[in-house]
Amino acid sequence: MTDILSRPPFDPELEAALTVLGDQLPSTITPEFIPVMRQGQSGPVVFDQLAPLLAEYELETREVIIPGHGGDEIAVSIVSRRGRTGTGPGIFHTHGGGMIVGDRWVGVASFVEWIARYDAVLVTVEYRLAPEFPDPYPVEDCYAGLVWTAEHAAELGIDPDRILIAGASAGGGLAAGTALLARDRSGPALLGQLLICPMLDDRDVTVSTKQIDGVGVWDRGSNVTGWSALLGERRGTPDVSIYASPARATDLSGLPPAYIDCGSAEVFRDEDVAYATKLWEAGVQAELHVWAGGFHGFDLLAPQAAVSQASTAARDNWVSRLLGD
Amino acid sequence: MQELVGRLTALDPEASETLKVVTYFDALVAAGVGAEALLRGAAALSGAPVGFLGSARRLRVGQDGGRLPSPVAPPAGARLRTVGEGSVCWLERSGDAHANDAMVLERLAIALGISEARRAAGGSGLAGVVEIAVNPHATAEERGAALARLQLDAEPRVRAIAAPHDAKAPTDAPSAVVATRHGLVRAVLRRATEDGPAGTEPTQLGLGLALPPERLPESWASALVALRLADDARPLVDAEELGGLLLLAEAADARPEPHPDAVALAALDARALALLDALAETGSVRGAAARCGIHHSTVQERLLVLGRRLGYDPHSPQGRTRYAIARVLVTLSVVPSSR
Repeated sequence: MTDILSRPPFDPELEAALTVLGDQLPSTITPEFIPVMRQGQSGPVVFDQLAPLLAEYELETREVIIPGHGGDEIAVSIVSRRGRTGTGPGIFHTHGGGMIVGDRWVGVASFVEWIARYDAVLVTVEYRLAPEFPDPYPVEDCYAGLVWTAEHAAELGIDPDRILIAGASAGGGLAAGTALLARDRSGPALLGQLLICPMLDDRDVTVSTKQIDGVGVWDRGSNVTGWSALLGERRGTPDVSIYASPARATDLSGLPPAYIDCGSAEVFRDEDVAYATKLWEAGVQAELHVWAGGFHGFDLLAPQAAVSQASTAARDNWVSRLLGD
Repeated sequence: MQELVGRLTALDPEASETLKVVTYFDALVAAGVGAEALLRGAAALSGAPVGFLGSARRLRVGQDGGRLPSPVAPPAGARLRTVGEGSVCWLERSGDAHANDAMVLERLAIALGISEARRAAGGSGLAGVVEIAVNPHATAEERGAALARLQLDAEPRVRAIAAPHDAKAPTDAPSAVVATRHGLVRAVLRRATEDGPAGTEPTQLGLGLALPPERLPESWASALVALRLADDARPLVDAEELGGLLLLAEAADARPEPHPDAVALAALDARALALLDALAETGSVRGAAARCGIHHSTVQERLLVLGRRLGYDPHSPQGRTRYAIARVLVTLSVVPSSR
């Protein structure tokens, strides 16, 4: 027998989907894959897939150029009901993609129903990607986007006291980091943080990262690729801020209520559970769901699976408690 | 992450994606999921609601995988398929059928049949234990218990027999449809002293090596090789007669890609293959010419062309062996079906 660390098995339905889809990319994303992945996962490709859904829910989009980190121009897009007037909740969205790929439309599909149901306004930010723009560009661009959203709340039709920050994967990590920046810079205020399978820890030391090595989706090697792109030589050293790697924060008091979910068979499991625990310890409200047999992003990859439906329903339920009347 | 791997979405309405359908259902069956998970898979792949009326259950699932109200009967116009006696599954497509509808429905029906058989096996049936007995990943304890239930544990030698998954189950021997890396295959277990599966319908069969019962996984592996070498001309292949071919099959299976010689051969048309086979079997250009009804000078010319395409002369002593091995590798890549 070789010395392989055992891991929780994948849910059978999820595993079958992975068998069919897994050959599209290897489990381990190495730096050479970054250009290839960017070709397929940004710009018109992502938006074209989203457009029919926006049309179905009668949503419109507009783009605004705003000052990002250091005053450089970055884009945000605003998504809301066509012809909307009045004031409602805001959703500030930070997209996923390992800090290295994707654009602001990645993952927006998950929010379309909420925008319609709660008459919300979603602002999604085109933060600049590593490695060309290493830390602190991504998280500072996100924070700049949040500041702009709060400052323009009245004109956007957003109630400034009801802004939810939300993101998946690297976007979950950026949402958590942005929430820490908002706390430490005394604003903007946040109603909640929705952290979907968030990427929180650059240190590569958990049991779950050792378990998910060369298998599943976004394995240990991919995670090292993402963090190395963001932090370069600093990855794993003491010279990393809590805003880049929120798992390093020792004091999580004063943060908004959090929703955190992940799969039991993904790299981020242990850091996500630890983050929820630290929030509770600091007296912050948090809800944590660890879905049995889930690999990273399972509910997006195989939405019809029973465990994916349960995960989506739980998230939906939390948002209804936060934003519902 | 969706942006990293993609999403299991409905298949292309116009292009056939057989491999994806087969792979997906084989994986679900191998994982031992229940009927509702199978329906969710079929609904997601087809992008249409699907349903199942089984002996004890009624299920209907929408294209998003959500449960729909239980049906009393399949709706009018749905595409139906029989799962087993008194059981039926269907796909609800309004308008023209999509390219993969028939394949999705076929694989759903097969998978539901296996799932129902496994459910029954939880009671008195033996399908589940047969699977354990031939599974190389089962522990010695699990296999021992399975063999005892099958009353094969005291036998000096037993053999596994491989048949196409859609072949009829024998009534006088335990059997189960098993997911293998080459797709679904029916496994039948018999004592080495039994005469074998005489009197069954005409279908291809692979007889595994006769071995002590605890080595059934090895017998099963050899039966799978034998089944893949069976064809219409030689429907019954006994692994005992394969000699070193078993080693060749093992080595071929260990490769992620087919061997280049097999790829080159598989790319030829049927007429070219028939000529090469005739040459291999008769051992002479004149013999091949007579067998194929063409002039021997024409055969000579064609062999020159074919030799260039293959990268070796199939008529030379070395080339003959190389051709014979490549031919076996091509045959091994396909599992026969009784249809």
